[in-house]
Amino acid sequence: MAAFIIRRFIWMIVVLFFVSVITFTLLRLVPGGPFNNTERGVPEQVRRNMEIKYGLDRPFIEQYLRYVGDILIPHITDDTWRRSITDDYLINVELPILGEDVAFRWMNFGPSLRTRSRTVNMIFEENLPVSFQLGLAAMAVAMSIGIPSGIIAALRRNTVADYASMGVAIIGVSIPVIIMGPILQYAFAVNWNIFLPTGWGTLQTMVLPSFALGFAQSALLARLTRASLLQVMNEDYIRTARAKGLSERMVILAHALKNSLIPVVTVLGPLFAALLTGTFVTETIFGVPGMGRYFVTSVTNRDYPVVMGTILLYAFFLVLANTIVDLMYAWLDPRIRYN
Amino acid sequence: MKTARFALLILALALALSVAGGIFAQEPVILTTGRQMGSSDIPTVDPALAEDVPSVQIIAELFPELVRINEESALPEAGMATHTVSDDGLVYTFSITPEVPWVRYNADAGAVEVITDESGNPRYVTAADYAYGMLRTLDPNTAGPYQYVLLPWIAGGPEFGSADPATADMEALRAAVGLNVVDDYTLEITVVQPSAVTQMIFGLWITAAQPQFAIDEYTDFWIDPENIATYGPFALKEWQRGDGGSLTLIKNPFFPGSNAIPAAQIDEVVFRFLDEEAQLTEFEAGTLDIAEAPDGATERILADADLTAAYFSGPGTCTYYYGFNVEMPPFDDARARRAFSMAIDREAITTNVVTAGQQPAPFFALPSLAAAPTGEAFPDLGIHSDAAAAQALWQEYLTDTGVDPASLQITLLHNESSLHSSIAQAVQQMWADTLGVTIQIATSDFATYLDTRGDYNLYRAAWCFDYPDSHNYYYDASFHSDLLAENDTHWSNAEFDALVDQAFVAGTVEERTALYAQADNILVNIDAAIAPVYFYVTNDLTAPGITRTHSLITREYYEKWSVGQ
Amino acid sequence: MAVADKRQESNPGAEIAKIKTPVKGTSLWSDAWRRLRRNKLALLGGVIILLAILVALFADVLAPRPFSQQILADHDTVPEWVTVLFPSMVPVEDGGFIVINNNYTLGADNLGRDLLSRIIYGTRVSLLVAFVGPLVALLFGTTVGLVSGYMGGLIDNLLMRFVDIMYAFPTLLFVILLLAFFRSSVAQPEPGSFSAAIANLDRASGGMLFVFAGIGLTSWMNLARLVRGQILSVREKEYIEAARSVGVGTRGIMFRHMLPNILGPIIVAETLTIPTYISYEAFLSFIGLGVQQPTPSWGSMIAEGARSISSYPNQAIFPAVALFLVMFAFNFLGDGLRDALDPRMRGID
Repeated sequence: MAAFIIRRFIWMIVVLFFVSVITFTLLRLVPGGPFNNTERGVPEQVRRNMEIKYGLDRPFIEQYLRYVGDILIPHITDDTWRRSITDDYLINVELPILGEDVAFRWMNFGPSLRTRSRTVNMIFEENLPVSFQLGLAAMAVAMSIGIPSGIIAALRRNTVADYASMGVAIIGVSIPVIIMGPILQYAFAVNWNIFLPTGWGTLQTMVLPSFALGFAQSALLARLTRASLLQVMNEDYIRTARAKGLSERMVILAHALKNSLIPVVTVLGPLFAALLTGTFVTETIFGVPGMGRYFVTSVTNRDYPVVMGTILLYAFFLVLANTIVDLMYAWLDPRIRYN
Repeated sequence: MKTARFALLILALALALSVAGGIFAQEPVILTTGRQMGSSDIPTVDPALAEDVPSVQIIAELFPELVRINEESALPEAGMATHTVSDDGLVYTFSITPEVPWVRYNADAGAVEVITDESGNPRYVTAADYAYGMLRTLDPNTAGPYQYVLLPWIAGGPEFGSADPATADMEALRAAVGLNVVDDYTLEITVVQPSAVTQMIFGLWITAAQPQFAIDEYTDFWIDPENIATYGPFALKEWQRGDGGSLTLIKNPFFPGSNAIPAAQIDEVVFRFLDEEAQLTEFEAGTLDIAEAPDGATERILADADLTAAYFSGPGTCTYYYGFNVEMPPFDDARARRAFSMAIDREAITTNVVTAGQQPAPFFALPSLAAAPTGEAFPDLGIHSDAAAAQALWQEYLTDTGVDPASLQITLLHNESSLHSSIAQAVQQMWADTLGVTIQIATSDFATYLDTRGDYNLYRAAWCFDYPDSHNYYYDASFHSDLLAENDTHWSNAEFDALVDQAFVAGTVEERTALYAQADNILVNIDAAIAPVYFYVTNDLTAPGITRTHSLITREYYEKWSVGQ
Repeated sequence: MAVADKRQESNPGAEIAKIKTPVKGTSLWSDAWRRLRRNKLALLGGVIILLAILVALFADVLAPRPFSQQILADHDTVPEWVTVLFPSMVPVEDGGFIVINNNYTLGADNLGRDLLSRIIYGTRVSLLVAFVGPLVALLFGTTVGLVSGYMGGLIDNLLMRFVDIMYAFPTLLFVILLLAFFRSSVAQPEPGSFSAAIANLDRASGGMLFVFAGIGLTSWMNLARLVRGQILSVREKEYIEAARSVGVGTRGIMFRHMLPNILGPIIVAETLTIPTYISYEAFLSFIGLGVQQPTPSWGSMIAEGARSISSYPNQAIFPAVALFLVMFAFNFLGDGLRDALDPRMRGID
């Protein structure tokens, strides 16, 4: 198992390497640049000033190596070091032994070229926690609607209960957030004044976006739970369990559910990663200060370091999620072996 | 200034109003200003780096200018200084309001505090701070996006600002810039040439005083609330970044106040970053005091008595137009351009497609600008929608050139937006109906659009002014051949250049207006390099009980607002 | 076949069913079809999808007007019955702002185009998007997942790392980048060149070519992972061991024994992903990179209508209802197929 994890870790680095190379290249191939954002064309000389300042005048390979180097190479800084948007580190450890103001600093993801007053680290620190909360809350909504619906549907297959519970889950996926968002806002915030239409951080603001985002994903979980549970219920060991005289409830709880969750677990990791970053529409409609909007606008703004940073972060989460899924397989189904 | 695409920011105001007995109660007032999908929050409040409407709005309250552009008349008046001009029009001498302190909000104390120097004395805003601010804006090492706007004005500025820092003697060039600090409160500025427009330039955020002591200490992060030093009627209290975030301004009790920039009456202004639709929802839920009205909701607002009472529609700050590429057929011929421009039924667009009160634009410059021709003064100016004339002209073009209309491949580019898409489809239909030509419509994201629009037959565009003078339209919008490299229509005309140059230095407003009218006639009618479509509007909703001004110039001055009983 | 024997042992009811329908009726597909027919909702779903396909094919005949025909003066008008359906839409005569025009069955959009006609034509784009995504996913995803899960070892690792790399790209962001790249590289092509041919193809498809390309390139990895996960749990099962021990070849095991056993989850996953493909299209339209106007698609109509949903709910909600019906249909059909195709449920009703 340890060897498996180490191997996975090495692969993660390889994946991140490929992802960074492909994104870096693709970004430079798309027309437009980070300093081209007003309808009046920026004079050549102003653009040159900015390119020099942020090193975009250098050869492509050098830019890439510098970018990677800034992230990977740790620095020991002393009191002459000045924090700036091009020199800001995610990990800062004070080292009082070596002198006052000496610190170990690591992982500089670069500046936001669009705002020029923030670094990618700051975006991670300020906006990622919000996306995390929204993602977790939405996932909780998705699971609490999806999995019970799936179980009810499977156990009462082809009855009204089946159709009704699946129907509810399917409504979620069939109504785009673009429609569901405003309807929820007008119903719960404008008409009934139960929640606030936009914002984040309080229960009043968090319920609607979490629901809108999570409801849309619940059908996926309901479907998989239902399909998987139905399949498991026909397995031999379930019949054996029944034959042993176990109550139907015991059979389901002790045997069927655990095994039926394997395909469900498969999608949870990627689902969470998607919820984390793929929430552009939800964040826009509900005014949630998360990563989703940075994610999309950084591409349209050609804000190279922000695009790189968010894609690498996303990639990291996904690879991590997939590794955990594989480990969960082994835990849920002892017949799967990693060696 | 930043373009119309920044038409969606969201601000919210929290006002505290005093009630009888001198007790203060918190009453949030929320205001919305333009902000689009293109950005996620206010990019910066650094005067040297700002280029968009939301940033400039905040800066106007934190770092007021030497000259204040009145938001209701759009004319310059005394701001943080009074000034005199030498007889040759080259030297501006500013007498700066004395003893205005640099301040910062102290979150621990919960109050705005005066910043002191090493010996404990208050730091006042001096002539040197303004000189430092302008030099920092000009410095190529700062790499400010709006440097080029200030660059041509101050003597020695072009040499310093466009020098290559790697090879030039920057110290000597810096010293040669025409900024002379006479004493703490007197600043002499030598300009490149006399002009009727210069005053406006000293009313721009790029000329504001900047705190060298804070910038040296905190580098790029000097604008964070815990580091910043400001001197305007409001100070920066909080700044939560990101979409859905907010920025809070708090009243600066140490600001002395003047006619143009009074001391603030409102205690706090909270700007919330939300989409227009979300703002309207918040406004209707009663949780936002001022909201920008989305165009799509105009008819609904006007059918609702409460919303109508809160609604205000005023002139906007941009002109929507189509630019013709004069190097690609068929638009290499002025007749083809004029035919297409005349075939646009502007009235139909403003009554059916953009229905929030926009006005048809027969000419280029907004009528609300200084020295701009207006429809009343020049009723025949511009190009007028006329299907029959368009057909005749198009036929003439086809006959003369022998072009087969079926062989024409005309592509119009616009950046992604349902509004641009609707208008493009409407004109596509008009051109098909009137001229029998079906054009293609291409869409791309904003960065690609900016980079490639010069390669299409025609593109949609909007020009929004940086400062409210016609010079900013007819010169800075890059139709003057000085700026040909940035002009994606690739059009230039020596006669047009001469008229614009003349209007730049001409004396009276009437003379300038007449010259701009002639220039416009060349740009829009004779040569028809562009087809103006409509003038923007600014629509917003204000909760009852708020006494406010309505700005013509993209930024509001909240120090003039109050919340009354 | 091991699994069939097991079923017969433990399910005497099925035994009887089998006796009633001799030899011929027991093949996987005919048996599945027999059971699908009994699932009324699945059948209804199938009928709705068939109808949608017919609507797409005969849009020219069915639509009352051309989809791009504008009558600007009729913009945002609705027929009377719509104001009854949406009480917030108060007609002008009653002090509201809604202009009544009974010429349009569902109303007109902001350019005075017939909503019904646009919904009818929009069926084409939405169905194409709905089928192209799964097609690519099935071709690539199933193959990669099968090979990876069954072979294991180095091949599994290599393939899964490739999937990881592709998967690590946030789909929508990747599509946005690709679209910007594709479209700009063929923006104004040299006549006769390859890019001119591509540009013409894209133009002929209403700009859908690149939407498909983007969605296709990013849609197959999910399925590959799912299939692999299923294979991992299936490959150690007794009936596979049994098949292997009696000398069935690798390909035979993969396609004859494993694939049918994991078909349920694949179909479920794909039917469920169809809404995602369609919503990608809607999202891309929302940010202006979807199907090029004036070609209508439900996604772009919803995105467009959502901007004035508080004033003219009909413009967003009618296409949303069309979308909703097709989603529902795909979901219930997928569900029915799942039950019908599961080999261990043969004979169970």
